[in-house]
Amino acid sequence: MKPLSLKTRLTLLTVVIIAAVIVATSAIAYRELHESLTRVTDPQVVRHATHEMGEYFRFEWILGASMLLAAAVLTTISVWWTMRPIRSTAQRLQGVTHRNLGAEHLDSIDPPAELVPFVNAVRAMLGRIHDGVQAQKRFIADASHELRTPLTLAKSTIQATRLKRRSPAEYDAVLAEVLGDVDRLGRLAGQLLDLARLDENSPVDLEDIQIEPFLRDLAQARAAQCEGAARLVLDIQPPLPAFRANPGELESLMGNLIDNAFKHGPAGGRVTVGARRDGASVLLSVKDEGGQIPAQELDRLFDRFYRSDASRSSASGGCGLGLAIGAEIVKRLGGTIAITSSPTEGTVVSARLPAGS
Amino acid sequence: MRVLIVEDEARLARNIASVLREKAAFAVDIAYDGQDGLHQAQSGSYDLLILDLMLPKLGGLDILREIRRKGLRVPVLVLTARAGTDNIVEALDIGSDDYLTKPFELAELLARCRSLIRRSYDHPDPIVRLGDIEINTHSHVVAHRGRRIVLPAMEYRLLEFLAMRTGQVVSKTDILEHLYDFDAERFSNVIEVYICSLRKHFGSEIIRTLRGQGYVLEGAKP
Repeated sequence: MKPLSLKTRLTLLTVVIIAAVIVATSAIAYRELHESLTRVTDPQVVRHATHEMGEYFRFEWILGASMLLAAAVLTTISVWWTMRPIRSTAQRLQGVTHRNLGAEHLDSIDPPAELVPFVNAVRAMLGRIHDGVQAQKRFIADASHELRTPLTLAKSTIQATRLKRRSPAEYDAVLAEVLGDVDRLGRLAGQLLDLARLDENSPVDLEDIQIEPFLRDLAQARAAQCEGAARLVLDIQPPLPAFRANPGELESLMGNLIDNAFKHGPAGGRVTVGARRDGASVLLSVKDEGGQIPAQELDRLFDRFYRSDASRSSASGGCGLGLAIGAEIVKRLGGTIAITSSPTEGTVVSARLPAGS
Repeated sequence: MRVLIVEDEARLARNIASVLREKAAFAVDIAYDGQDGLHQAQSGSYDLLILDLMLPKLGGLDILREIRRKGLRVPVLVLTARAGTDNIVEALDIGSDDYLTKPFELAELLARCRSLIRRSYDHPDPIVRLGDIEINTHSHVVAHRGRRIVLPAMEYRLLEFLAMRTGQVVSKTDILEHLYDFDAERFSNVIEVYICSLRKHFGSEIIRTLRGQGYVLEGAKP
């Protein structure tokens, strides 16, 4: 059934109330007058009074009918007038697409005070969607730039090599370089997939994590890969409360943090992987002896594709997704992640995960 | 011809340099950040600048602005990685001459470089004709009275450089600056040897020596 319009509802309500009042007052008046009339015996008086009563009720019905008409008209007008800002809002919203989200769509609508929160809420919502779409666009632009860099390198390397005949050793070196580019593309594709999965928020299997053996295995594997770059030290303070996480995600989180520490810490320095209880949480941390990161950069480090060098060259190896992925994983486990950096303390990234989660 | 590449992606810079050296016989220098790039570009010894836009320390657009402000007329080819035309339009508007979006074909880059240099010397035709000498700046083959002459790389470079400035006095310093990259050892008496050899090929009247000033490659015979 089609919902009744506001105009119909208000008109009906007013009509019913006014009609009820008229009927009730008429009924009461009629009963009172009728009762008084029964006590009168003079027939001339009775005739005259009956005539007057008839006049009175006719007048009351005419008055009632005009009131009903006036009420209906007034209700219609006021509803039409009140709804005007909503109508024009709706009309303006018709023109909103993902391309013009950023423009001001709801100017000069001039809503009454009661509707200001409504219009403001719509405006704020458009703003949030605009920001979201912009972030997506930026993400795609950054991702395409990151994908293009190894492609440019591989392509130009192959083209430059083919200019003339080279020695087998030179061809070997070129193949190794291009293989490195392909590896980088593969890593990037994997990270983009990780982020897409995390964004989808699809459920993953959680397992009880024995953090000590977990970190030991992970540290051993990573230290073997980064041989000679820095020394890896474990600092685990038992007893550690049990907590639940997806082992793959936890490995990705801690592995990224350790890789970063190796990359940004000084060669021959020390990378400390720590785990301890802190109230009802487990505090996992990775610390390197790298120099100070400027305070204004610290928060942005968790942004996707954020890198401290503006040129985004491939020399530093990463593409700025590791910390963003880590932050998503921690957020999903209901924890928090933070980074601090000082010349004396080095750079510490710590993830606080609720125990028993 | 001498080219400066300002590009922080070391391998890409190396690849571009090897194409320019091997295919076009250009002398090539590389700057890996914006500050170095600006500093080197200001020396004024380059016939072309290849400029990446996203650079550490100083952005490509800032370098471009600065060298144009200083009145340098060197042609600039901009490399951009960002999609979209905003960047390209801005770069062209503040004084670049051409652009390429990464990833690009090295062959295209090479062709654009050659064309930019030709135009900057007001020689739109890739074949330079000087009397009975024809220099094909694309294949590097020189024809003299219908005879094909393949010159050694440095002699060709010198001939091409002088040919682009036909009729102008070119000093030995100019020649040294435009023919050798920064790392090369430069001996000014080598230039005399090359000049001598070119005269042997094309006749002694082709290059005039102006004592204390430099050399002039004569155009069509009077």
